[in-house]
Amino acid sequence: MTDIRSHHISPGFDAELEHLTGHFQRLGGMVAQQLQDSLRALVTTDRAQAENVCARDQEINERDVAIDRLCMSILARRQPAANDLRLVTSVGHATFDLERIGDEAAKIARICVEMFDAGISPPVVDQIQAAGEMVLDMLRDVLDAFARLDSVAAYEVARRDALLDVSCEEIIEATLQELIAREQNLAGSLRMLWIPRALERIGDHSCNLAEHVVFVAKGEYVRHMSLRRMAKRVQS
Amino acid sequence: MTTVERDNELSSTVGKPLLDGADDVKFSVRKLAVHYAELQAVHDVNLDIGQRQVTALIGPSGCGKSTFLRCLNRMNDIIASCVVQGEVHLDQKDIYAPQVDVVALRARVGMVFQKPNPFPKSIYDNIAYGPRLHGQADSPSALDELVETSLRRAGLWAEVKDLLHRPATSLSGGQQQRLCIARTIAIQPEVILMDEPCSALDPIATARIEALIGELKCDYTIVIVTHSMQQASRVSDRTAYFHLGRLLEVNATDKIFMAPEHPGTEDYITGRIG
Ligand SMILES: Nc1ncnc2c1ncn2[C@@H]1O[C@H](COP(=O)(O)OP(=O)(O)OP(=O)(O)O)[C@@H](O)[C@H]1O
Ligand SMILES: [Mg+2]
Repeated sequence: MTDIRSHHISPGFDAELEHLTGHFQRLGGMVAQQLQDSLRALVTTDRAQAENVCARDQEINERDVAIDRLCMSILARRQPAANDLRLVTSVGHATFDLERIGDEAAKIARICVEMFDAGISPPVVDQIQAAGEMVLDMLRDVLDAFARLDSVAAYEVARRDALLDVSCEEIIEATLQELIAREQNLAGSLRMLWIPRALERIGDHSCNLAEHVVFVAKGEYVRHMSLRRMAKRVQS
Repeated sequence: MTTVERDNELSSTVGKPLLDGADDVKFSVRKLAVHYAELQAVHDVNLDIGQRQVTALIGPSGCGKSTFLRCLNRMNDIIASCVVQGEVHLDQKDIYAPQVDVVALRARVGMVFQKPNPFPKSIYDNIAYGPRLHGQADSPSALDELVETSLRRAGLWAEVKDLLHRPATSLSGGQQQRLCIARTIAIQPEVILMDEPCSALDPIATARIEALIGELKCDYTIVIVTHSMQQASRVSDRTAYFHLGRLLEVNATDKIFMAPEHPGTEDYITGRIG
């Protein structure tokens, strides 16, 4: 993540930043895998895979703490400034978002296990799969933007969130319609509604990640900003 | 040329070298160039220094920070090879005008050096020297009082109040530096220039002096040269980055340390090979 810039006079500092960003990218990869696996478990009604996703969430939590420690240590020992300061603090914030995405993926997997055990076949799976791919692309692209500190690419990810939100609302609507039509085990099936909500939340966290990219790359706070204003900051 | 016209054609410094209406300008420096014989040490510097603010000057060794600082109280006059061109105005008056009394100027613009340089006299006489010279205390008791308040303000009184007639050189380095600050304050200057005042001090003495800078800026304008990025970020309101005799960037200290505008500033403060 830092290799596009010139090197520090202290090679040890370069190594520490690379260590940190390497950990961050690996966590990003793991979280994306968790999301992909939870969606595949849903589509293929694979209970074992869903259980695996739930089990692996613990490892993500541990890595989250490890990255936090690294950030603290660099802040305390190196007193980074300017783009280094922005990188270290933003990796800390972004790790929080990744950890939450991991939680949402585990939540999807848990709901799958419950559905499968109750013998409920999940409704509107095709639509969920499509929205899932959309959000998975957002997540992968924003991780890539983070690696290259590319704020234009980050902005493009944030722009796609509105589309995802529409899809998730449509899934909720379609799920309700289908459950009403089925007239069976309504209470158990309602849990399904949490899946589009989880996808929506993952989209929101991906937008947060995009905002961190812009902050590291440009030094501009674009949090809680409209897309139009964000676009202006990105292009400046 | 009007001020506006002149300011518009100012050189390549990025950020905000000039102050707008919100801050009172203590010094305004325009087109400053300094030579030591053939060597040009400062090139075309334009900078306002705000009243009752701390302005930090940072930059690599040899970039002209001390030379610039010495222009503000004409300390460069004593260097034979040194030629200063351009304008330096203090409260809108040219300090290089022929009628200016340099001794009086240096009483208004005091200086604290990198190495504590107490006179080989008692602690008391170190402080009393300036006020006596400038006729600022009209009775022995007034002088006693001035010595005490100056030492108190410099945070040294408690440590030396029973040793006032010991030689100043018997103090520790950090105490001597605070003595030099007390000596500077005793003359009741308007501006205090500090050239790496903490470079020979331990973290506690450094923290004391930084705390003192924080208090002094309520009454004084302070310009400090420092090699410690952390010190600049802790004590200053504005930071000016010099590089090879040029002023590359001036901005609010927060801005400089979080998101500087000039890549050269960023390389320097993050410790990169520029
Ligand atoms: N008295 C002098 N006579 C001749 N040249 C000088 C004199 N003082 C400084 N210089 C030269 O002027 C340039 C700027 O020096 P200056 O002392 O202002 O730098 P500085 O930024 O304060 O460096 P440092 O951080 O090392 O104190 C240097 O090239 C230096 O060699
Ligand atoms: Mg110097």
